[in-house]
Amino acid sequence: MALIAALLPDHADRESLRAAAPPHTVAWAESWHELNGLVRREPVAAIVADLHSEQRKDGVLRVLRFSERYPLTPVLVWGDLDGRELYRAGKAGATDVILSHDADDPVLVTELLDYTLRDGLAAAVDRRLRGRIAEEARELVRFAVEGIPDQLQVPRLAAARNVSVSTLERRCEGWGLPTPGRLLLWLRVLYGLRWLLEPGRSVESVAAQLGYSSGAAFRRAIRATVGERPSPLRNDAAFEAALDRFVAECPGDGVFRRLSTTG
Amino acid sequence: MGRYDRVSPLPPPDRSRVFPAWAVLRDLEGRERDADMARRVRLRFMALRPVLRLVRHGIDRVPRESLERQIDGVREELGQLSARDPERARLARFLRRIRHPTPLTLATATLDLGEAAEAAEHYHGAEELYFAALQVATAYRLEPEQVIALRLLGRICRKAARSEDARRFCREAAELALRLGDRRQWAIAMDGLGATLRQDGDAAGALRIHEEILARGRQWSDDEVLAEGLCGLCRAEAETGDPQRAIEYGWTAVGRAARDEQLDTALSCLGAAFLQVGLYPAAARCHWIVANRASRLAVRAQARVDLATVAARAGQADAARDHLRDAIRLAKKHGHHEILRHAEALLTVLEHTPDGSIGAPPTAAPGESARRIAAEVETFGQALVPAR
Repeated sequence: MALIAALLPDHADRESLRAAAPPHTVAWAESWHELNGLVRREPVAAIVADLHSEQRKDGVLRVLRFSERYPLTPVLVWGDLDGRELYRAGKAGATDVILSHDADDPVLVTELLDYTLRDGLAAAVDRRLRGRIAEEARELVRFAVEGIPDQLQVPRLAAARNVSVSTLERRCEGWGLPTPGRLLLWLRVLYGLRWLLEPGRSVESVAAQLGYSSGAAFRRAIRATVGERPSPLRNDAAFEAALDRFVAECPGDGVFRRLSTTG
Repeated sequence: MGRYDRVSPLPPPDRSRVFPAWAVLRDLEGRERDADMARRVRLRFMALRPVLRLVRHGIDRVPRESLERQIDGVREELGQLSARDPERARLARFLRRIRHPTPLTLATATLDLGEAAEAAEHYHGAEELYFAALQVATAYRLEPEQVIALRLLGRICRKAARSEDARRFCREAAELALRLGDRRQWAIAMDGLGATLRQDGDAAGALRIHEEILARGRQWSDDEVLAEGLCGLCRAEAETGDPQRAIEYGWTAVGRAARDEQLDTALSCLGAAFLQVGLYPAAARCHWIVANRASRLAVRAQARVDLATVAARAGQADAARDHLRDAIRLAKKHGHHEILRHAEALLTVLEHTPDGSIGAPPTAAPGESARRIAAEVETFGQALVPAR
């Protein structure tokens, strides 16, 4: 599940987030500097930050700087915010807010976390595959995308579906998906390319987050799938084109496509 | 101050790209240092969040206890407003209504709160509340409430001078109302479209719209639709410089009005038309009747401003000031900032005018039919215009 980086100096706030976060994991930072470092190094899916965590510092400005460097990483602002701070936080790019008086309600905090985390790569891939491959195959791809930050490998993917690796390979073939190994390679590359859309991330840091031994290994993976070097791919159009190439490698089993188009 | 510079000049993000209810806070634009305003918009933001939460997840899927905790959290903060502040009572009532949510209570309570924000001239807040109500109504297929939300969105966009949006919302509201067979809402939505065209200076287009309402009213033999069309034509003719015809339309509208509120509107339109040809006693009589019989306080307060305008045009500065003081008292007490602003602006003009009269002289001399109608109106007492 997702990794959330959090900057919450107050002990009670930390407890509230701890209670609401599972199944996601939380990595704690002591300052905005540390929080930025965490996002650079780890596969962080979202951050949670108390706007008043650093005295005499403008928390909203920190949010703005963060969202400029990591525009695809959601920022959940936490704290007792006045009207002006709320207004400015929205302008600065905060994804949502957890107000102090709501913080001790784990149901509400969990809802906000889940909603914040919903719109990552998994949603984008799923939208493309809808109507193309069978529901069971989509579920497998969804699971695989969510597992990429945890460096999911083929044996674990097969085990999670309660089948052997060879059975999983046969099923993927039947569903019109690439082999499980190729599927994970593609998803790692797509994950990496999406992260590379954020100016704050480098090829080296993304490679490390995805489990590659070096930036060069990640570049090779990109060439093996997309067929190009990563630098010219750091824009939305190139990412969409890569997504198209992946979808082209998932033709589906034909039957499902006929059924879904004829109703 | 320097540290704020990077955030303040940023353009406001699109509603779809920012957190739920944020748009309510946009009323702080340009007045970020206004602590009272910041308090009010924050409370409105917090009050709207549970509604948007229910829309996002579905009423049945939000645990009751969690929703109540969220609402209680907002209620505890209402103490930041004075006990006599009308906004506090309104928000408390809103929170009570959404505590046991049904789609209908959510939609109607949100629309009501939106109208209160609109009266306070908090147009961003009002628009966001109308949008929220539209979301509820759309999610739960409450088509009549959808029509109302669309119509109110049209009105707020017109006030915010966003004509294209206003026209689009009014048209959508009218189309949906027609499909539902709701003639009254259709007529009101079309009247909003006409008002937008008038505001844009398209007098001919506006007249066509109001005539279409009138024609439909005749076709359907529906007095309410007829009166709506007549009121619109009265306003349009008065604005395009034919007060004689405006008076005739207004007078017919008074006779056709199907509801108390519509009668008030017709009298206000007629009063405004009389004012244009200098028939001050008749104009004053129209507004006086409205000021004394209207059930809505905002309408009463507006009628006092209209009375003051007539008195000032007639050179009765003292009477005008008295009416304005009444209007200001009423508007302040009930939080009608739009009316308050108009009344205060008029009072300021009056106090800076040596002879206490304002405005241009009548644009045209009254014709025979206008005089006859005026003579009849002048004999009206409040009781002569029976409430229906």
